[in-house]
Amino acid sequence: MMLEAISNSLIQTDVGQFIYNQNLAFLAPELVISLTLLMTFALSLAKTQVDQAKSWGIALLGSVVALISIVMHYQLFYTGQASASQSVMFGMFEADLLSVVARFILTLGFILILHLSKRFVETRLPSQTGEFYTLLLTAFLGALLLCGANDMIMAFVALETLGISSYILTGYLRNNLKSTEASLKYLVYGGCSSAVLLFGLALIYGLAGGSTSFSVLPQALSQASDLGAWASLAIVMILAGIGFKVSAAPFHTWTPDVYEGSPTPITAFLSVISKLAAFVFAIRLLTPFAGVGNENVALLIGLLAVLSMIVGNVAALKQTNIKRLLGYSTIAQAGYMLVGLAALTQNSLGALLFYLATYIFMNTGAFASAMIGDELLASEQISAYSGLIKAKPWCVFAFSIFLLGLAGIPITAGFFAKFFLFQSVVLSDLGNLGVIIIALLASTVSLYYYLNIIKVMVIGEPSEQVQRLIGEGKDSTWNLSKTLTLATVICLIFTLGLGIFGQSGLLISEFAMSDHGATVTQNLR
Amino acid sequence: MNNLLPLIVGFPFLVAGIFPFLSKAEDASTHKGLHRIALGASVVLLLLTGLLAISPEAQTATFNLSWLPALGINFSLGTDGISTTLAVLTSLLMVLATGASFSTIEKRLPFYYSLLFVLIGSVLGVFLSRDLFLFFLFFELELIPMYLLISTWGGPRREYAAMKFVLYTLFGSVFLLASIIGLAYFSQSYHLPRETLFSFTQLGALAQSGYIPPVFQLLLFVGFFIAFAVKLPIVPLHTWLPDAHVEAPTPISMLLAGILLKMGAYGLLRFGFDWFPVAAQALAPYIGVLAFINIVYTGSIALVQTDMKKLIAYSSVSHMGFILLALVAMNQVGTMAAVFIMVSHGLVSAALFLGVGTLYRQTHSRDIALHGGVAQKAPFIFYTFLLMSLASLGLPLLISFAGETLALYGAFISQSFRAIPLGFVSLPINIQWITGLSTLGIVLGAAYSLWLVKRIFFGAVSDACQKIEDAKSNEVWVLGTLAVLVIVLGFKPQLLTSQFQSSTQAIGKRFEQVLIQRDQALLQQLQGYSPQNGVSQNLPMGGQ
Repeated sequence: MMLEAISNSLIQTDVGQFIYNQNLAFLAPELVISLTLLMTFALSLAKTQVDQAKSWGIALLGSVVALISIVMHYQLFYTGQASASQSVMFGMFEADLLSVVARFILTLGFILILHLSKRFVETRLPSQTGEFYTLLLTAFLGALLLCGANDMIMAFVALETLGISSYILTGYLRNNLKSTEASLKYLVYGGCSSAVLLFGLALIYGLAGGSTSFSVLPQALSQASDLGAWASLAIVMILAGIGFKVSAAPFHTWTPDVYEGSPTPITAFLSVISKLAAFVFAIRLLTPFAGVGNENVALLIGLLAVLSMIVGNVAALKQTNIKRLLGYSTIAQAGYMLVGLAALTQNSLGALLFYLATYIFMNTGAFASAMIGDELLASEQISAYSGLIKAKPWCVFAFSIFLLGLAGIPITAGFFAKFFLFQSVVLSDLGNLGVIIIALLASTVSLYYYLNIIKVMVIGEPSEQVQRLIGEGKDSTWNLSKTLTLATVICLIFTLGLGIFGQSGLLISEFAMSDHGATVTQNLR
Repeated sequence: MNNLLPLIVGFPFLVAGIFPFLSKAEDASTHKGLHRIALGASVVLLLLTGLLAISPEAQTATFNLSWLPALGINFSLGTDGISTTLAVLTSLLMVLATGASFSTIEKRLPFYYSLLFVLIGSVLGVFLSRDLFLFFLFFELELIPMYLLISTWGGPRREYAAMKFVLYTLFGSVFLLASIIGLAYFSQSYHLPRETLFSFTQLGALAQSGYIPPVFQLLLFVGFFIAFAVKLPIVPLHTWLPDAHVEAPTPISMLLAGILLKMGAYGLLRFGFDWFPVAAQALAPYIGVLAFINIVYTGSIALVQTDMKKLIAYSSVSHMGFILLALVAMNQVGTMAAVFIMVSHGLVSAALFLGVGTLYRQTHSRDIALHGGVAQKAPFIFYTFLLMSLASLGLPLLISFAGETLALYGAFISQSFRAIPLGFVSLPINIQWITGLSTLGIVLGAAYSLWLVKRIFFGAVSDACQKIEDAKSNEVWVLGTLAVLVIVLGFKPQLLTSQFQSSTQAIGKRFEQVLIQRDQALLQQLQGYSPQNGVSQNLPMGGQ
């Protein structure tokens, strides 16, 4: 009652009227995050580190409020309200179920990343805490907007918001050469890929008859009978841009260096948040092409997928640095996901979204474990992990589960997600079985390097660092960052549970795709 | 009664979950306690499966739990004669392997038993699941514990061997998964109920119905075949096996040979041959040749081994060839023989590996040349090893005799192929020829087994064997149990066959039906060309 009264009186104001008319309430998560980042920005001007440290709490609070607002929005769909799916800001942002589900996963992932960052920032960047979280929130804001962007301009702005903040964040360890290198590399590659993407979008803009909106694309594309070379060129350019963002081969070359050089929480952010947002963007942009010239689009995406799986998995075999290895592993993971994207049917896209959801927990978990390893062993080399099970059996257990999840071994969520993804792709067309066999063979290769880490930790003789740990006893466990441990436990629970109890998750993902790829489903026999 | 099935599959996982919390102290008394707990748990497991086997529902029990209904995945368990038999074999060998662990495993026991029970749980899951997704899940789940078991407690080249095992099996699983998804595709395209998309009954009925286009039947069959050919193993996909067996610690070798290979045989029978009999009979000539190669080629390799464990490993591959031959026969006798050999080889090879293990434990060498005259020093090991070698070569009144004779008999009376088509020509080699040539495997078996016994146990006591002692008490009861079973079931194989006879007969009848239909179709074709109608008298009808 109170709330209603307040909201009624708020609507009476000018600002309230504007919000109401433009459906801005559906942008609540983004507005909350914007507000939060303004606050952390203000805090970054504070002189004392104690004040700066508060920005973590504010960022967390903001993301939790954003999460709640997303859940409330989802409630509208759940109760079946007609007005639940809305265009916001003159159709530039589509607050449909896909955006809601994607933003939900994204926010969960972001909260985990905040937990990963806390100790890291406190120790490594004590005087820049405020800035760090401001930039992180900005990047996150870009990712959120990208999930619902239904307009080329909106999408590009969101992409750049995400991108530019990330370029800065990767170079945050200024005294570290590798970090600086990562930042520069990412900036140059990113700038070029943005330009290429923009060129592609401009071509589409012309083909679609001068409209920037994605929603007119299906109609425009089906009317233009002679798409021909221009459309192909546009698609190639767009795929190149997306390929860069999701680090698909052959646009992956930045990934290992950037992943290795960046502060680890940022590496996790790039591999999880950036990737998810880019995939949602790809789904929204590419589904209109599902009807026309589908074969070409599917073929190109399939090509990217196969290349990524091969390059990522083969290159990962020889890595000795854990972050670099995870970098190559995410290239391979992008390959599996692209297989789901290539099919462009409702089921396969739903399975893709589910895969992304499980991937967020598995991969964040893997990076969290790498950070725990860094805290305990002060090394990123895999050889330092040798014999870790003697000192920290539960850390080894958690890390092993994440790695097995990424490899797709039961009973982790990775197994289920991979199975659903590949199954949905084949069920849409039996001809896809060939790609699936390649994907499965690639994941056979991947088990080699994932198992190798587990082998080192479980079987190897304790390394120097581990022997020191054994000497320290329980103290080193209690000294671990609490938030980091919490994030690891959450990731572990989801990695184990999301598969076994994951049915509703998959159904929601498929439901979220009901407006996307549906045309292809109808075309099936 | 229905609750027994989830209990059998769930119990090992429960035990596996408890072990990590037990004491990790590395002293003798703690070890003894841990060994005893594990033994107790595996005896309970054996009692549970035994209870299932003697219950009136041993052939028909089912358990169904809706798990992911929207995806057509159910937690569905069930039995028939074959599954029950293999489940009992599994839990029996688990008890014996635990017994064998007393004297061989001396470090990190809680971890060891945790992995061992996960392994056994997933093998039981493979044998008892009645949902193809669940089957695949358990089939993959077994990999990681096996990898860690070999690579933690194994011999000098353990890491290489363990990785090879995992990658080979996973390579096979690629085709298994492809076939499963392909089958699901056809299930979907015929609008079969989606809630039970992966249930054995539904998919099996679809596969056997012949509604799937012949080409795809062939492809799906090949997918299943490759997956289980790695596991069985069939030449040329067998190279992981000697490495894995040799490097694994004794109890794990027992389980590998005893039950893990049987997963391949079980899968071939249940999914490959039983579900795609038409494709199977089309490829029967080639599979028959593979079976022959398996028997004779690996038998010959076994002959020249200098490593005891490797010799027994290759002999295992050779015996698996007999299972394949029995399956290719595609009749009731052959099917029964296949299941019988699964059990007989399970018992015999486990005993052989343990026998070799007792020597290895003392001499730390697997080199045959370093051993000699052990019979004087360790009579009990000698007698049991001799008994098992005789059983292995198929001496009458010991367990393998019944299985291998049945297999050869079944193949000899089989109608499954009369020539081997090779493109435009076809070699006039029928299954009778293949069977005849395969009997060479028995001769080879006798040669390598007896020669091994001669070299290790007879002659002067070698330097390495001077200090050898007889089997420890735990090894005595494990080997004794196996010896009793080998003799009793050798005298009275009906005790075993009665368990699975009705199931194998049902499958065998389906095979024979397919062969009869094939021959009738051929006959009609020939009659179409022939002006007279009397031709049919001279043509073989098949299936009697």
